[in-house]
Amino acid sequence: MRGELYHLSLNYYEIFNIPAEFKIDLKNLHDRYGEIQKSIHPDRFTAATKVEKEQSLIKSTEINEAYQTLKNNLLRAKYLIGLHYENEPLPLSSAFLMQQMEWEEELEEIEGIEPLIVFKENIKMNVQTETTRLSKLLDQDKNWEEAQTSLGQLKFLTNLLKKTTELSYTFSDN
Amino acid sequence: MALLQISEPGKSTIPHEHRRAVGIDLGTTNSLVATIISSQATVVENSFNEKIIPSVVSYSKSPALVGTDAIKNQIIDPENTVSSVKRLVGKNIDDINPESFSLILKNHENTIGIKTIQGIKTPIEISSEILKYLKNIAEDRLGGELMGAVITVPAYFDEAQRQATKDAAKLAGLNVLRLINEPTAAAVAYGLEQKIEGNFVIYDLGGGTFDVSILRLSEGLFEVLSTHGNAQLGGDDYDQILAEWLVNEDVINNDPKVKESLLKIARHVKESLTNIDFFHVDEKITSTIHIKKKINQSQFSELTKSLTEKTLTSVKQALRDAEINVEDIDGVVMVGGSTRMPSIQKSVQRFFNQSLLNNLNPDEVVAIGAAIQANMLAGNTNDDILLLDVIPLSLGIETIGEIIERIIPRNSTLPIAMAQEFTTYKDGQTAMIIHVVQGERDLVKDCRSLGKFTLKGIPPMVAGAAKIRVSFQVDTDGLLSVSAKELSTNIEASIEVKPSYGLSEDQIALMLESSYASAEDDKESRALAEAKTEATQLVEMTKNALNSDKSLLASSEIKLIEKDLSLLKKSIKTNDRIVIRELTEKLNSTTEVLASKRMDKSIQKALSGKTINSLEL
Repeated sequence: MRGELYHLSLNYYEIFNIPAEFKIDLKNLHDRYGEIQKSIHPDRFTAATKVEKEQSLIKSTEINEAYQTLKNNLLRAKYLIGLHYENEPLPLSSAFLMQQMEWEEELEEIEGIEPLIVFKENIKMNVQTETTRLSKLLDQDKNWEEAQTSLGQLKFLTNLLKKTTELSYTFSDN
Repeated sequence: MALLQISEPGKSTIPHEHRRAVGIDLGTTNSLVATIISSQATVVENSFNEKIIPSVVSYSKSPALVGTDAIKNQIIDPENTVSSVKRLVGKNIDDINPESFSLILKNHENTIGIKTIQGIKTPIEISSEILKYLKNIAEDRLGGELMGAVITVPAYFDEAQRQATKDAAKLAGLNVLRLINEPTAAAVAYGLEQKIEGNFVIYDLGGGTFDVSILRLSEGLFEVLSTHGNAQLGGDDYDQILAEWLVNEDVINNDPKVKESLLKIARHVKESLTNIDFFHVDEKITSTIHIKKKINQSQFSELTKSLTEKTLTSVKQALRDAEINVEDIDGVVMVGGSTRMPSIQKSVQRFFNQSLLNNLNPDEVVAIGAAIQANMLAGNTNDDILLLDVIPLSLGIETIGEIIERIIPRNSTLPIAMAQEFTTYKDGQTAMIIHVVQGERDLVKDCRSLGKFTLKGIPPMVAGAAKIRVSFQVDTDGLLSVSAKELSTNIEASIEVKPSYGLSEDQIALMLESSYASAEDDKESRALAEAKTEATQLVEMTKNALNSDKSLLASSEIKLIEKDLSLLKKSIKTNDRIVIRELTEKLNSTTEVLASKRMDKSIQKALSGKTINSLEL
């Protein structure tokens, strides 16, 4: 009972009063986040009672967590799937695993900035395609199982893009 | 009070006295205190009309001297005069190179001790002398006791340094409203003066440190997106390079006196070159060293190019962390005396391809911003503004092989809580040492150790079967508390991470007590008065909250609160401090439900003006 007090009974989408979908209006989310923080952030409770200070810290922490989750494509998709579906994800297909290894080998062999940019653009495109597919699986088809697989692939692609971007920084910094 | 703060944040309709709150820039070289006087942020002067107080403490006399008076003793009594203590705050002897400090340093209860004729002084005690001095001049100017202070710290200060700063403030008898990052304070000063919106870079080059922060300002929301810096880079390094150029290196390193006069000359040349393009050095240092050299701005700029480049590397990292491109930056704020160098202005201007915001005094802007924030936190304004800061360095714990598992990544918005599950390494393992570290590197030895604690009483299981959940909570000051729990048995252990490097609450209390040096009776009557005031406030706030939000509660919950409320009210009339304290705690816990529900209500209210927008992607 006591534990319940510390958690909003609402899910992250309900907190911000926005539809529980993958597609999200980030500007709108940010505005709502700002409005809520302005009303419950510990800065607003410097002269309040101890209990109110504690509650404000707890709620403000939760709002931050909710916002960080919904703001990020991967975290949002994972959260949304979790609201509907509890099974563990299926392993990625062997075709995708093969593709993964090919990309990784390709990246390893790249030495100049130009081929790296070409490679990066290719991965970026793949990220976009997979995001669109995931979006459809979640918001239209409501196929949580397949969405979970798509999310697994998107995670890999996003990490690869991040790795590529970091490498391009190293290249351009030197 | 609290009632109205909940329904209408920041707006209090109950008339209250203007609360005296100040902003303090506690700097390495100089410190300033600012406050709002007739709705204008102003740096407070001491009785000698000085605004900039040298961060120097001299223990030659008791009580200790601070500022210009202490500087005078630097020559007469250097052994008992401490400057640049900020470099030592929150560190232990292994973190620093003692040779670079002229005073006698020793390991003292896990922190650094400096030997003076008034005994061994820790950096916390020395800093608290400076803070006490600033507190006094502010109280003289404002004509009464301060309600609280916002103190600025470099964005790159780690957990230990923040905690030590807060301890120093407590020791000085200051109520710390908030620690805020220096660049953030500067942004507040600019943001409010000019009511700007967009993405901003705060470039802060001081005497010894460099900090950069990326902020987004929108509709009264100040969000720090990322922060980066270099604690080993500042204006002093420019002097050093120039000094080396004036003579050859051997001369500098061989004689500390020669080094000092050379650095002084270098500094003078550097400062002169901010106004004129050309400088002719003609100085005799010793009978054998006579420097005759000419230098112009572009030569100086070329000479120190690598230093300026280093600051830009940090800027790039901060932009990457914020996921923002140079083109998306709407303004660049220059802070810190060292940004007066034309070569820096030019490089930064070129990097961002825009003119810079530098119309506020770079020496004062941090204190001014802190004062504005203090005034807001004290509830003196009706501005609908909120500052959301981030944690500058990642927090994690040590795992097998001295590798760090990150729990809270850097640049997470505060307050934040995160947890991670770990397991046992050996069969039958019944205890686990949790070593908390801060930093970006992968190995423990490259990061800052914040403290260790042991979770005991894990039931013997095969390796990997126990589930130990380690939770980190970082509050709005950037201060951490850690707890660990074995999930199958609910065995729990927790620490406030501080005791391994800072002062414990008890130590601070003890030091404060001894400084009051009051009789037992005094202490008791003060404690009773405090308990009564707190109880009375709680009674008032609870009544108000109950009046307006009774409908949120079940009748049984209301009855419970009303019962505890009347008990507490009655107890105030007695003079039994222990009973008053107990009943205050009791009412505090019975009102938890109410506070939580009121918080939820204000969340709903915050969104009430908003309808579900149609979505576009």
